[in-house]
Amino acid sequence: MTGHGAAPVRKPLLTPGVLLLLGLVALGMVFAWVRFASGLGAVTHLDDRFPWGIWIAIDVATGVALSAGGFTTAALVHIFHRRRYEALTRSALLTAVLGYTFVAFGIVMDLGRYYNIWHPALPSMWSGHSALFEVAMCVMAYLTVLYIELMPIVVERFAGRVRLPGPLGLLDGVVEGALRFFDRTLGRVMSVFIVLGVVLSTLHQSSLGTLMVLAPSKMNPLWWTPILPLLFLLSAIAVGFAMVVFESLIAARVFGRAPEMELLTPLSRVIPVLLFVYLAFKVGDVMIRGVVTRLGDGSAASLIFLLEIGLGVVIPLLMLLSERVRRRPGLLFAAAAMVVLGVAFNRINVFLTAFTPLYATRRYVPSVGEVAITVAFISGLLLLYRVLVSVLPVLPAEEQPQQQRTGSRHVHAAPPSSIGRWSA
Amino acid sequence: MSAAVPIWVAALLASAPASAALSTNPVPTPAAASQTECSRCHTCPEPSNQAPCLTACPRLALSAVLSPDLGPDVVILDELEDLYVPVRFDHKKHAVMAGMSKGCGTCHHFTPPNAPHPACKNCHPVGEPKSDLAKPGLKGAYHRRCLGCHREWDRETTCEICHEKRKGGPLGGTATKACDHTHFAPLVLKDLILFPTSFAVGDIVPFHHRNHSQRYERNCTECHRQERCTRCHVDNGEVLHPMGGTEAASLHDTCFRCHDGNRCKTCHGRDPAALFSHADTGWPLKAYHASLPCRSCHAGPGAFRKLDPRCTTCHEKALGLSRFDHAVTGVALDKAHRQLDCDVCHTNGLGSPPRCDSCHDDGRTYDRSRGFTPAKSP
Amino acid sequence: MELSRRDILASMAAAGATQVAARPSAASVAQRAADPFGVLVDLTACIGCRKCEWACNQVNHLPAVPVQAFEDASVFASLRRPDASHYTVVNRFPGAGEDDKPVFVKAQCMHCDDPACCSACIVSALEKQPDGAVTYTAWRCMGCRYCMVVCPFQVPAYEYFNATTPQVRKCTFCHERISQEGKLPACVEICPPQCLTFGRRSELLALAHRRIAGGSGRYTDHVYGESEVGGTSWLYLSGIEFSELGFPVLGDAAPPRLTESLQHGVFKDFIPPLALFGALTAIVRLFRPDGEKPPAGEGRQP
Repeated sequence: MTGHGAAPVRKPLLTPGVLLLLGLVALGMVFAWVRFASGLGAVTHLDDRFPWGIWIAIDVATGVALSAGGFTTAALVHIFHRRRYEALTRSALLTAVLGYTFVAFGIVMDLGRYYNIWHPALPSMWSGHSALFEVAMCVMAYLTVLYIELMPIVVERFAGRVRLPGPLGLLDGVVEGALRFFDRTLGRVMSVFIVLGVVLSTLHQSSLGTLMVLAPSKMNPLWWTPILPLLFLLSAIAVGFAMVVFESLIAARVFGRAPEMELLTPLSRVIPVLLFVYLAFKVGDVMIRGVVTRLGDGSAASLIFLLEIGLGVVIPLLMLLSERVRRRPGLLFAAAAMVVLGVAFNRINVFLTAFTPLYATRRYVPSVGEVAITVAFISGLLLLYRVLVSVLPVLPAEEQPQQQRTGSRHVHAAPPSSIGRWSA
Repeated sequence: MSAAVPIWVAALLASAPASAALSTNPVPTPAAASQTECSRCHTCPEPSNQAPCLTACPRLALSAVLSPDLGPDVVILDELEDLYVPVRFDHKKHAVMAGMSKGCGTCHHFTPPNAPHPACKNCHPVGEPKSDLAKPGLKGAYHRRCLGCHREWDRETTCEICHEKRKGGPLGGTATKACDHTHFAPLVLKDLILFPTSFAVGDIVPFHHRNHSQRYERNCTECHRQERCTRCHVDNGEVLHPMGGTEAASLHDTCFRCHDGNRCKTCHGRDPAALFSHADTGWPLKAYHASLPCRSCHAGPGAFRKLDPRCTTCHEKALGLSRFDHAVTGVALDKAHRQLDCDVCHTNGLGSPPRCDSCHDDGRTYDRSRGFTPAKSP
Repeated sequence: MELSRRDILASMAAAGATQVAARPSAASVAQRAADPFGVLVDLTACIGCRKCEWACNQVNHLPAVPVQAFEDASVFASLRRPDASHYTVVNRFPGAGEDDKPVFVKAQCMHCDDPACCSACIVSALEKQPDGAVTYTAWRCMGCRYCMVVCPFQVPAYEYFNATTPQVRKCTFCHERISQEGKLPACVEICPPQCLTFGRRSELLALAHRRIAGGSGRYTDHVYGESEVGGTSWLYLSGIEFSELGFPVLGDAAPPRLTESLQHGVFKDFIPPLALFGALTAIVRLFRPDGEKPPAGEGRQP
């Protein structure tokens, strides 16, 4: 992964935006404290009819879907050898690492007995018939794989430069040795982990869709379909690339860089193809199951479904077919954002909108605490991303990126001072 | 299945190993059994002991109609003695009421042919019914029978409506002996019921309920058949349920059991205030007769029917002449006149003005208004 | 060397998969059980006395409420459902005719033959026992509440205000009482009119059909639970349509059959994932552009 000359971002960290994020995280932590002190009922609007709320629909389901960029770019670059996109892999990988980490946080927040989260790993507990078991095992495994994939970046940054603060300095040698060990071994087996990561992603992205297949009588038939796992996988693959485009353009804007249009424009050519495949299955499914007539009944569900397909799939698909859209950062961002929000909307719809439990006397509306904690997770993710790109060589180095990408593999643009600034 | 063969199957087949329940009942003769069609109880043509292919409980199909007087007056239900004092069940009262509904079969859903109704516990075992799932235990049988009807009008299902907690028992009651619930169902006996009808000439039919039941001594069952409990028992203080069978045909049938159905105006449009007048029958009651109870003349069984208006209808046949006290007519007969036959004086029939001149030629006469006019002096 | 590492990884994955696949699913346990217990509820006999609620609370150590409190008929004003402190509740529904008796319906876990909750459970905390009961083992549970999401009868409830050891709560079918102590479920034992009949499910089904065929005209020709979602241990007989009594209209298919076939299709002896792994590895090696050094030199300094 050294071929593209990435470097830590050298920008002031304490911007007003970062402070805002810190504030949102702090607010969320207040609610999290209440949740762990007094139970889920004290913070959420969950009840016996609606056991799952936005923590599952957004923090977990949407989080997993939008972290798909990690495995799609890894597959594109390292399996299908589209090396020119290598500059995008580190950012996508970091997004995936953080995304899945916060998915884990979200699960801990939602689990009533969070301290038992390791139970699925015990062979005595294994429940192969449960789709959730498969999701849990794959996410655990994939999270491990992601951190392994991240190691080379850490090694690249710190190998030979480990200076832990204070008394921890005594461990410098141990950490240094570990980094050198990873450096020696990881390179040889990294392709295995990358392939493993893609396989695990394929499995759990689809199994996440299987979850709601088990509740056919409680799901709106527009969304309930036996091919939900396939639809989840297809939409995850499509949103993976859209997410890379989306975050790359945001990062460019935030860090005041030039958008990497020379990569994003050709990359975004594949998105409409993936969207079309997803759309074809989605529309075909609705037609074959004979529920397409429900779309004309004017119900809220039918309008939401049409909105999800129209704004989230059809319009960005049509937009991205145009070379002009793909070349212009603003339009490309709009299209990518629509795909990202469309898939997020789909996950929320499958887990919340389509869910119509029996005997419900009210609809589920997330509480202030639920929203605050979800916002805190997103803020924390952005914050960690912001910090980590300042510490680790994730984003392409700013000086003459073209030259660096094609040039030496041994460039380390980060000055020694950057780590000092971070650890201070 | 042998242990689970219902009592009625055993009874019908008159099989040799009679169950304990059977021993308390006379075993019907095979002849009686042969009168019952196999298909009443069996779904297949050739049932066997192993595969009896029984239908569900035959219920009314096998119920006999017996008189309430044949049953016990009061049954003490004491199977739950540890928690409650025994329940005093007024069997006779319920039997009478059942006569207005579905008869004995309201509760006794099974009665072998030519046999009295078995007691509940003859078939329903005390304790859990493990051998035969289809048959509730005694607890279930009692509660279903009692509450099946009671909850129709008494929406309460608390235990204490029938059970009284035993003193010092697990439920902390105060009673020591069987309580005597006279009843918790207020019985509503209306004086007058106005039946609205669609009859053009008179749309209201006044019905003097109390008169019918008390003065005319109509038995409840003469009118009330297949009734719901709530027809008579107030439903939790709410309005009475509408009268059962509001169709004209069924009400007509009920009235026509006694009344002649040819004259509509007898009932339709009748003045509700007008009670029965014997004069309407063409035989106004006078003097002595007006003070008599109806049954003095209308003595025969059945309804109050039109009688032969001749005095002898009652006075000869029913009462006998010797018991006729002529003094009630205002004329006390002396010994000589008492010897005579009635028609010696009443030459134009009983009740006709007496003629003295059939014996006496001295000109004496009798007139109802003026009394005796003595003989003219010679 | 490198190949052997891959082989080790692959074989480890395969070993894990075989163990996963070998673990019998909840459904197969139930199917193997000779003849599970069940309860036949005859709604035409229920008087709505709520003694079953009281007995259930006693046996399961739910909030102790004096028995008199269950005589309060005002609770029938609104539809109640089982919750974390009530495993069973009785609801009142209007009868068929205008002045007909109301119909009382006891609700509790139906103890499905092929329970979606057991199929959903990630740690086998919910299990279908051979005696028919669907049991819950609290110490296994993670509290993910997936069981509540998938239950077609909306039964499992949750202790949302327990911060440390919340449990999924539902009717236990008095599992210990029926399988070890030889007793009846508490509700069945107390039921005054004995409208609850406990027995082997097959016998109860036969009994239910005999009653329907008996010609009394008391019952609709439908034993609820005979085939709903693949069958349930609790069965209901009614005089009026079940859809008018708050029962969900459900198909005969057990939802776990679909999802587990999807799962087992994807994980059939772990072959599909391994095949995908192999195919992708082949693509990595076969389609490597010229000029790149094997192995795929990742982030490595010479």
